[in-house]
Amino acid sequence: MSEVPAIDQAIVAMLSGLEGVEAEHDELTDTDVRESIHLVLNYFFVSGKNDRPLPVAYGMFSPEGDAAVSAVVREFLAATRSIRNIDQYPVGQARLDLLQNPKLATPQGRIYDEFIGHTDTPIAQQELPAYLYEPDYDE
Amino acid sequence: MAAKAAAHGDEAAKAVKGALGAVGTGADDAAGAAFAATKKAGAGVAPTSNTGQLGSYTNTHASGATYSGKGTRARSQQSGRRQARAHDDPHVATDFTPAENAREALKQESRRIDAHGGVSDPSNYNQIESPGRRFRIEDGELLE
Repeated sequence: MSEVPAIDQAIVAMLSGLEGVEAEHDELTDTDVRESIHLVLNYFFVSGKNDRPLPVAYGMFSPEGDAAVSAVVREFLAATRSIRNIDQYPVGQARLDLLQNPKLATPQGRIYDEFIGHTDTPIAQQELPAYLYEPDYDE
Repeated sequence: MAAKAAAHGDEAAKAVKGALGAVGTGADDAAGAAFAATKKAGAGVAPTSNTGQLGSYTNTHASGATYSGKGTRARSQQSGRRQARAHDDPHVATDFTPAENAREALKQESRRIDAHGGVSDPSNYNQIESPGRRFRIEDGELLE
């Protein structure tokens, strides 16, 4: 039996972690949240940038929800950086294809697009939107 | 509250490790009746979050640009504020449609994005495809 690559394990763990967050915060797959997660992963993982703090506001309805999403994303990025041969996955399309692998599913059988949406090519980002650092909660 | 949020985040991190503004509304902006939580495989958790019924929306901004999404009416307003700040383009109207479950809301969202030119249209602030597109393909509404 072939061994599952560490990067795939990290992606499944992240998707599973997000699915776990949704169990308590069902807004997890709202478009604002899904696109926020995508933008952050696109910036830090797909583009390989690491020149700013991780965002704290993913569009969840509560500080607890945003903290939970932040923790999952932070854990994923840390896991990818600790993969010994991570450099074999070049930044750009190759890394986007890793994230958008439809064969990687959560325990409930759900795939990436429910949590991060889909793009055919990496989004060109010079910077991240300010709203990712500015929580906005209704009373 | 911050401590509680941090604790919640820590729980999520452990789980990962273990796993290895008031605006105008459109013509179909009707209040939805209460409905049962019809969770369908691949569609996530059905209904509600924050206030109101789950559905889909299209926000229109002052420039004429649009942003479509899945969520409650409250979400549509939060979304309008975010995109207004991001693009310096005030949110001026919302068209909201209730949905019977999350999968249908996502399919509605995908139709809305397509109706406004798709994710490659610069007048559409959506840059990312909705999973509703895959659901529409699975349900025979779209060809791949």
